[in-house]
Amino acid sequence: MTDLDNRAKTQSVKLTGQYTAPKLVEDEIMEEVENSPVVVSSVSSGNGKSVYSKENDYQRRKYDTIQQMEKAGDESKSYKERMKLKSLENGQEDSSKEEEKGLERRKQRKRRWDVTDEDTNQIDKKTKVDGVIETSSLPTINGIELNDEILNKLLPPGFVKIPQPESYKPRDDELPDFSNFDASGNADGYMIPQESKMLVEAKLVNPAMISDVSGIGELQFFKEEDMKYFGKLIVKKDVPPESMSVDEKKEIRTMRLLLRIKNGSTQNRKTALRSLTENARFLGPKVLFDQILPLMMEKSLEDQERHLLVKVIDRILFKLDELIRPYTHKILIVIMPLLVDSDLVARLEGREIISNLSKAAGLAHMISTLRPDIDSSDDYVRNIVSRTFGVVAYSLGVQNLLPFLKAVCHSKKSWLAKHTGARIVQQIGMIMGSGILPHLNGLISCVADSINDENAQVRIMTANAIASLAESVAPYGIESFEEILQDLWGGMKKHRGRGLAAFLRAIGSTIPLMDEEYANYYTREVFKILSREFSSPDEEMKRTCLKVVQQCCESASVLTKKYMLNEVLENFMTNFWNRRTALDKRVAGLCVHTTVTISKKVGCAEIVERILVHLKDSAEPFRRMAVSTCDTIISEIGSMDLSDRTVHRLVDGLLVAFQEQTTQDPVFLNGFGHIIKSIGIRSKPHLPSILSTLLYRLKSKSPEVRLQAADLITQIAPVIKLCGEEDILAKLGSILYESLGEVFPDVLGSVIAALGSIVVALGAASMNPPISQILPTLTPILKNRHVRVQETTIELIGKIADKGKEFVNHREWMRISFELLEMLKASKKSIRVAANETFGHIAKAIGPADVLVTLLNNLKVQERQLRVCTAVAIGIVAKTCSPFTVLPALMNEYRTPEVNVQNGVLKAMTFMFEYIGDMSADYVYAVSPLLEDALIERDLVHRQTAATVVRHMALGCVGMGLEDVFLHFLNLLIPNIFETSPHVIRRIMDGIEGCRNIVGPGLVMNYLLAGLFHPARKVRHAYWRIFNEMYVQSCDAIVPFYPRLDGVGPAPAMEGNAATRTPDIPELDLMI
Amino acid sequence: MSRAQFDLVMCLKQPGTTIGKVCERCDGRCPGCDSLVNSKKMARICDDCSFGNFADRCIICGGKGFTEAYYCSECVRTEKDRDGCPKVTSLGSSRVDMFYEKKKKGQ
Repeated sequence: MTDLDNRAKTQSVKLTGQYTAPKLVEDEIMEEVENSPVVVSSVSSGNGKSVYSKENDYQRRKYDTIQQMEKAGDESKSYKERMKLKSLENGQEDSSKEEEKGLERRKQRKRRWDVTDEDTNQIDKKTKVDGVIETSSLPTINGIELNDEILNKLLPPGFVKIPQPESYKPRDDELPDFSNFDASGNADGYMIPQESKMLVEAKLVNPAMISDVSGIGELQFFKEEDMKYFGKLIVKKDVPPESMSVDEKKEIRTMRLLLRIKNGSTQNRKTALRSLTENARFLGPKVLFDQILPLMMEKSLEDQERHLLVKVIDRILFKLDELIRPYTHKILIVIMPLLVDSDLVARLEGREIISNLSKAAGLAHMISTLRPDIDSSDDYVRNIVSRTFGVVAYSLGVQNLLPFLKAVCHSKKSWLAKHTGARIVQQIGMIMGSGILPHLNGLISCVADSINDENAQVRIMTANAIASLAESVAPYGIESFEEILQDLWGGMKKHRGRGLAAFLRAIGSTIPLMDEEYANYYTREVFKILSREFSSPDEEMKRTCLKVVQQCCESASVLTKKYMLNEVLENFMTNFWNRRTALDKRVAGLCVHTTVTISKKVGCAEIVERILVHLKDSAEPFRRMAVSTCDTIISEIGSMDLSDRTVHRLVDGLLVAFQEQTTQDPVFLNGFGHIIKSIGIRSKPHLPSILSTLLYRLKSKSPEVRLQAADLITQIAPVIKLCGEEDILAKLGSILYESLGEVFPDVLGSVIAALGSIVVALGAASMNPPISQILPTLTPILKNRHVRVQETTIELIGKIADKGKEFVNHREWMRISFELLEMLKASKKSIRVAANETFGHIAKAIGPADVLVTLLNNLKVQERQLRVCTAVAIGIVAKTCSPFTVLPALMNEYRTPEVNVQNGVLKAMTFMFEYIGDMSADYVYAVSPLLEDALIERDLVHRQTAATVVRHMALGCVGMGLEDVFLHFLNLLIPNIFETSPHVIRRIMDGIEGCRNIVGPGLVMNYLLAGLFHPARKVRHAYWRIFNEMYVQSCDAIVPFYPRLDGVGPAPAMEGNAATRTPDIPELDLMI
Repeated sequence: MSRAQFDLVMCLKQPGTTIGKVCERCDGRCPGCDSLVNSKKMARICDDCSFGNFADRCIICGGKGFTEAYYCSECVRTEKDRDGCPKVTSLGSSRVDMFYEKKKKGQ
């Protein structure tokens, strides 16, 4: 094998569909790499995109957990076996401790869930002791001692006895486990494994050569690691399917589908996913999970691949339902780590799967699966297990989990279980929010006793759990907390350091729940401690202080302006408003939030005056923090109580901060914009200095600076108008017009947006240069490919069409509308929306006729999205220029014998009738022949779209006396109820629903009775579906229309024989 | 429920007194059918969806709440406004797919 091949293998590059550099260049690079002194690490998992490479050490521990589990063979063991193993481990630990302490065995106690059976322990210990005595020299099986002679007879030749290394010291308390050893079944003894033929073959195949795998088609890539899982597909491609067993066939099929899902193109992936989901029950959980789960734990897996596999699991969960039970543990092992992922989306995904899994497996099963990990000595395991339990509680109800939770939290045996219990409570609070209110008493009684636990970690976690509960139920539920307040208070007095932080947070979180009197008392007391801890250097304590101050300020009335000013503010400002705080992002964010909360107590001016100085600080993060605080305070409270002097200093400071910024942070831009907007007319004296800065920056070399300057103009243009400085605005307008030749697309977008905001502020008439000159300049810019440029340009054109249509001639508008058609192809939705609206404005400006011709011609194009957008545009034009100007042309266009055009017309009518609402009544008779034709058309989409039109029309003109025509439509719709395509049947149902609202449920009932009791299930199903929808909306209205079923029961007896006559069964009974 | 996305899950619990919010992007959108026109009646959401983290969030996409959500006249006419709390609780597979697709390209 060549050197190159080796390298390709070790660097795990993507192997298909990649366009590489020419061979010559490649060789050159290779040479360079070889000669360079730096050794490139070529670990297979060093792929920068893989999940593994992005995980931190804590998250990587999942791989250890799985390895351990595999080593112990945990996955295949039942709950009983796992628990027994666990209790054995613990039992040994316990007994050794007891021996050391010389404690006497306690009295027999009531059995608890977590206390192992004393007898089993004893028996286990006894057997162990016996074992030690009997097998003091050599192990024995079935009474035969395994000495050298016997072993020589048992083992095939080739085995050599190796002397014990000197460093080996056997542990006399552990012996190999021979309990499962079956001597009879293993007569040949252990054989040195031969390398399987398949593996050898797999090694021979070079993954670099794989471009497509048989029966799969084009793959996006095929990584080296994939060979490990999908090697069989390559190796066995020549084996005829007839010679394979059923299981093998299933395995190959699953493998193929999984590979298509993981590595295939989007379309390929979708079909494979659907096929896998549909056949999940046929393939069976074993085949599926045996392949999916190992794949999930592959270190080279990328984010997207993992997501796709998670999606597969999610889909097949639904299909397999109770069949997944034996695999619950395995699935959990691979899914649980998602809950501590750094990515929110991944966490949500994990949550969804666990939720579905617990619904399928049931609570008892989930508990028994997770139970052994609750008192694991590994903190990582306990963390993910508690999160999982939180999700389980969320999906199956807290009420059901409470008894178990109570038992865990009151575990007498290990503090680990108590710790996990408290953590579960904390997680439940976080996940469920105020949904825990009904179960608050139960949850608190779970953790109440642990507040005074002997173990510090348990106490801290309990305090955290209480804080989480209190935060999620605020401002309700203080009754439940009353009994533990005393303990919390005591805990707060007793602790220092981390413990104090936790208890402070717990108390702080309960304060917003209390009534005013209590809240004031506690706040006063807490503030004594807080002001002491303000100066603590510990980050955790800092965060806690900020959080608690915030919570107290929001709820307690005792914190008056005077109190805050005299007692708290100075201390707070000196300790928290420094550069050190600004460096830590989390603390800085909290500090900003807390300062804003305080400012609501003491007023805007007090705080702003204090932080003004920091706007000119030399450290940028600190300046940013100050700007962000000023921005939030002024946006929330307003700038009314700032004195003119303060405003002057504020604007001055902001200008410095704005000019000094090195990273063009949006915080500075938005802060400046918001504050100027709030100051309003008071900013008039400062406008010259602001504008000179802006103009200077507009000419800067750096594109970012220009961009920001233009953005700021966009924000402050209305304020300039407010200050009566029209001249300045006009001047700015002409400067921006001159900047339209900007080369950087981002900047150009901002310049156009700024121009737009000036057009709005100044009015189209007083623009300089005039609109008639601006618009033709914009037309070529529409061809720009950049998203932001397109969007802002279209918006500006829309504004001009709206406000200054008279300044532009007809021909120019037509030219623009041609250009706009191209915009309907844009991938960004906001551009398409803006383009559609602009069509409306243009149509209003120059009349619908010309625009409509352009649009109708556009219906003939191939791309669906373009046609849909055109249809929407026609709908908008119809709305803005009244339907009667558009409808004749539309109906005429329908006569074109072309499917796309006809569908487009129908689609346009859908939007039109949706938009015009009750105006549709005037057009119903006019369009009914057209719809009639569409509803009996062979093409599915025709009927689907026509049904939507009918629905919109119907709902628009309920009660307008048009029953006749809608009954006609209903007649045409009813035969479609057996359609199977999901979109079509949905629309047909909607159409029928619309008609039902007009003709009344009684009439529809007559249609349904024919099929409700039809012998064929498929027929019944369709009819019952309509009936159910009708029942939901108007169950009372259909009562009078239930059928009289006179013929039911024995035939009425002959006259005069009244005694034998059975009473008629009321028809309602039958229906119910 | 959204017309285009079938897999979105609505909360559907008993609505309370709180009025649901929508973000700037979803402004004017009907939480029942995604229609952008003929707003008719304010959408009320349940208590679980109106406190804690969810407070003042867009009931359609989870963004920052901006203005009240309104049902369109068609949903009111067909009594879809009475189905229950219209807050969307799931992320929706198309959004998650898009997220990872973007992430992959961004790398």
